[in-house]
Amino acid sequence: MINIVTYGDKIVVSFQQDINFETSRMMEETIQSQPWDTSHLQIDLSAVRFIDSSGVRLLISWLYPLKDRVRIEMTGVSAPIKHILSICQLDQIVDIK
Amino acid sequence: MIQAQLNETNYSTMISAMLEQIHGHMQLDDMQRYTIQLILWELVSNVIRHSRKKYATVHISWSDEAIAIEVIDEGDGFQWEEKLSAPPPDFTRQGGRGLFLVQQLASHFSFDEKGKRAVVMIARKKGEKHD
Repeated sequence: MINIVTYGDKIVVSFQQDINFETSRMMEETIQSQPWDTSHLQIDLSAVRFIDSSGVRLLISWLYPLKDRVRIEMTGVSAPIKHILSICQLDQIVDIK
Repeated sequence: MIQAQLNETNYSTMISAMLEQIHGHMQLDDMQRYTIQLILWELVSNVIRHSRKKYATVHISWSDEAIAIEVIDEGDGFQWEEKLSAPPPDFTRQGGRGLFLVQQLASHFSFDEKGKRAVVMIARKKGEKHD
């Protein structure tokens, strides 16, 4: 569901499936179990085709508390997902590529 | 026209099937496809999560100008006025983005008086609004 790999001071989190009402609860458990003790977080969404409002909620509740101490970037983001994240203003706290 | 009844066990598969059916009638670009998927997903999952009846009836029709989606809650409906008039959710609010996203993506979005029947129009040409 989620792969988490640490490279020195950088953590890469790769989501392996869509982030929605059906999947977000289990993903949240994985995310909440991590300390996120890093200065650089890369979130790879290249395998994600769909994010709903539950997925946006998961990303905001995870990333908003980290934003002042961690550089956060998102990679592999499709144009429609980028649009949804922008509507929800996630692009204000995350560098979306 | 497409009509279907969606419940908690079939809605994910049914939404994908409906998207394929619409795509068979018109060429949807990636953004239109995502918009239809997200609107169906948000409105149907809302009914499944919150309604007394755990299923929704969905009608989809289209013209050259717009795609019309109706999602009918067969239960009691909900107090939609306060939800649709709420300010955009900020980062301190975890939820409340489902109907907000539908509002932002649709060219028209309304409920009937009891909040049982949602009507959404999606413009097929960018920038069009429907009253």
